[in-house]
Amino acid sequence: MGDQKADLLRGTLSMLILKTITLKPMHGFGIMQRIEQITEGAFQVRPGSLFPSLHRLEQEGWIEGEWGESENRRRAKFYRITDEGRDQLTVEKENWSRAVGAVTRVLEAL
Amino acid sequence: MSVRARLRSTWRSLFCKEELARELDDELRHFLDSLIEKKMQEGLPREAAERAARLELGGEEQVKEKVREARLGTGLDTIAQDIRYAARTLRSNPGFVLIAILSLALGIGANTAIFSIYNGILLTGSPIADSDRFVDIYTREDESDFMAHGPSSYADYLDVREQLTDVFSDAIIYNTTMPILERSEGNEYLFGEVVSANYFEVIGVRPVLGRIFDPATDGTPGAAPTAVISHQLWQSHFEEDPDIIGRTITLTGTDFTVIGVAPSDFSGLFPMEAQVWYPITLRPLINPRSTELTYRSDRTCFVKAHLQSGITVEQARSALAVLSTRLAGTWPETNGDSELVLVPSSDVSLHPELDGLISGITLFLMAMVGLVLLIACTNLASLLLARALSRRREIGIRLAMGAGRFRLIRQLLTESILLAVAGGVAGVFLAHGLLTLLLAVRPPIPLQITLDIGLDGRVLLFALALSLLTGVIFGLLPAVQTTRPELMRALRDHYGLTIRRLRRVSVRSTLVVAQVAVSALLMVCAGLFLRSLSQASRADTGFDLRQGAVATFILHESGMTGEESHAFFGQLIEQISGLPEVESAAVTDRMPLGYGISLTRIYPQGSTPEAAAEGASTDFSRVSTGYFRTMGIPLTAGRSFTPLDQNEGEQVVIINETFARTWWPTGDALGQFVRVGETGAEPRRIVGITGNGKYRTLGEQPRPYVYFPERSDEPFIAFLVVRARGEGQALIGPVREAIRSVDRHVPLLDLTTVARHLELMIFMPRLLAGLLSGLGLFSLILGVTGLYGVISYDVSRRVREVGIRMSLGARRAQVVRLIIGDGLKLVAVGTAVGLALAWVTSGALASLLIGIGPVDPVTYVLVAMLLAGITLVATWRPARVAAAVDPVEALHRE
Repeated sequence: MGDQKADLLRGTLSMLILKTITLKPMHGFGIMQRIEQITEGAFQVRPGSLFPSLHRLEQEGWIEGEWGESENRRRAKFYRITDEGRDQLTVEKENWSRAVGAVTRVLEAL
Repeated sequence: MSVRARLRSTWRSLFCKEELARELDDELRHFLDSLIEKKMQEGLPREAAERAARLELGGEEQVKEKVREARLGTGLDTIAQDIRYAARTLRSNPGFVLIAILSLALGIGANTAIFSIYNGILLTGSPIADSDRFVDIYTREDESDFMAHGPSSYADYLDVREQLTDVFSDAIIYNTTMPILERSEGNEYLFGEVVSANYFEVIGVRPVLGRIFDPATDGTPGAAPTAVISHQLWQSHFEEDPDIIGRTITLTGTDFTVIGVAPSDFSGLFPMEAQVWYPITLRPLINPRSTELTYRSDRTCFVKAHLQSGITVEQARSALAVLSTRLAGTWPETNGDSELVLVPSSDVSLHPELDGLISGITLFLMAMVGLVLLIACTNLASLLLARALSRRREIGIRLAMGAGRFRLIRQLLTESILLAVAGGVAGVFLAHGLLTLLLAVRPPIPLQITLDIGLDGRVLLFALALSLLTGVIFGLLPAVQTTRPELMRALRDHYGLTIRRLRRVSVRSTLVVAQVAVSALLMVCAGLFLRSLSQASRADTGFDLRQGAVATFILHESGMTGEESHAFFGQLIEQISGLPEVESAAVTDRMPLGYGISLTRIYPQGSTPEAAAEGASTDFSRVSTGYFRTMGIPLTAGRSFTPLDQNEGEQVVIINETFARTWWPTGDALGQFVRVGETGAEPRRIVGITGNGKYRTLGEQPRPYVYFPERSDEPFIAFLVVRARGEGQALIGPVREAIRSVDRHVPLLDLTTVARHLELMIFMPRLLAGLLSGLGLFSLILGVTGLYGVISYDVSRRVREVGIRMSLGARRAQVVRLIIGDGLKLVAVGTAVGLALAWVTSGALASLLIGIGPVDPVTYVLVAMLLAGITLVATWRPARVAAAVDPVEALHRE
């Protein structure tokens, strides 16, 4: 099973994080589960990439962390997307579509 | 918002580290707990779930490290962390740290000291307001040496000021003056400036008390004489009395009203500290014979002009050239061969030619101390490389734990920069000490020079920049070498450096060669100056006066007439000759090997005009009757001067052998006639010929020289020379007494022994010899320790090889030769490079050397021998260690 899981493409993790928390603030574990769930386990998010990414995004001002109580009644840090984060997400989505479109065209051409 | 958030989190990263670390802990704990819960829900027992969760997290510390890096990228956070880590690492190696800081302190300290001299002399700001818009105006009479930017005349200044109003808004003129301040406590010379009345106004210097000169009244005909005094004079002579304004001071018999006190940071426009200023138009009150205001040919003054707004330097230059041509047309006899030239004042510190000389010397010194610092750097780089070997486990572990190579290099660089900054701080203190020592060695001249040499902000900035640069220079190579990925193998194989070892030795060997080369270069330079000093002490000065004293008087502003000064010296010589300590005494207007040079055109009567022109600039002096006896100058033909020559008798001269040989190669100079100055001048008969001597410098080639009898036409700068029966030092007291008893109103500028007077000549070589010997010695010590380290290390790596050689029959003496031979090879290459460098570069020193050329074989051979000898010493112990290897043990070692 582990063999089936691919690592995320470089640079896509931040986009997925931003997308994941657009609906409601989530904590790290929640984000990881959510991404794995949506991709049906195709992508595995490693904590060693997740947490640095979260902190980098917070640093950029795209997300904001705040402490709250999680569903299992524990203290957890919830991340909320900021307005800048939404703008950034739009930009990254566009870039992504362009890249995918380009790669697809190359593959079809061959 | 984004910026604010970033600032806030940067702030938090820097100053709320513990809070952040706690939060990160909490965050990760929550993650781990959630993961464990999930695993348990999936049916794993608690223990297995915990294990699986931890595995998935992949090392809590590693995640934390990555988060920290992510937070600031290459930010300040990790720098602070690096510094703490570096400090911790360094603390565990006190020996290494001590050596590093000490050698860096010496290197950076020496550099900082030399830079602050350069800074103090050439980079200090001008006291003039709006100094960028000023130009210096000089008179060019001759393309060569100092006359390319010679002083100007008062008449030319007036023309510039009055006729060039469209390019210059105003112009000032200033000159030196040495009036005698007469007080009940005793008379003394003051150093001051005679200035145009607009001087203070134009250069924008405000008085701290009273007022400055008013061009409408001060210095005008009929106005009462007025003067401005310096803050220093106000303090030292008038107890900062606020009522000084309006008081009268007496300068050389004339009463001046003090109208103002200059600010404490202003000491005039000459490098000597001015104590008083008075209008140049009042000069005749102090010196009635001065031709400064009247003769266009009397060029002794300095001129600065302020550019009109909107006028460029080039426009001013061409306007000045036009005026210059016009003046040459109007006054062909005084201005026909000269030209007014300008230099922007911001390009001049002291004088265009002098600046070049000073910056040449200081740049040479900076190059030398820079080289020493470079040696210190290579030495430290070498030490760091050696240390890298002992740290390869630590580095390997950190690489394995996921630390990036860049991060590790930065970490190692932080260590070296930390060392360098510590060395720099120590170096600044050292520089302060060095400067105090250097400035204590005052040049033997009797005037107070304005020298603002200290550790100002610019110097400190220089020291800091130098420290940082130094840290990078000696840290970068070892850091890059140490963190090479191949070092990963260090973890697996503790002895696994067989191939890399050879490379590293060769890097260190190269460093040793470089060190030896620089040491050799420095030692050659030091050697040249040391040899100069020994040549100087043996140089034939042409006079034989070991024990004596020299008293200096400046009489042209003493108020004395020529008659009076002649009478004064006559009486003084008589009085002093009667002293039991004194053999004889005489007076002259120029001491050989002193600081003044007098030149005039002297040529045989009947010379063609072309030949006469060759006689331009012959050195001369005026001397009293006992001069040759007192100085110990031998007369090779004819007679000395007699009292008759000094008064109404025939006009006579005495010449030296070079002058005689130049004009009368066949040797019949005695009894011939020479003319002095204009072709129509009265001829003078040659009555005596003296031996050759040194007149300007100790290293000079024989030059023609002419003596005139001292006559009573005008008073002059005078040197009283006294020949002692015993010690020269013993004369000082009695001579001072004698001068006071003859005329207590004549102030003495300086009274010193002949030996001290002659020190002026060897001042520069001695200073440089001292400095360079110190630097050479220091670089030698660094080089030797570097060599010792390399050879010792080499021996420790070659134990096995030595063991094999010995078991194959090599004798211990052969092993010793092998090791010493290796050291000698390195040193031979380094020495060859260093001597070649010296050969190429030392030509620049030629003018400072005495009696030897820059390529002095004795110096080169001695330096090579010294280095070879020192190599033997440095390699002796490692060689003995190698020879003591037990072959059996050595072969079983690895």
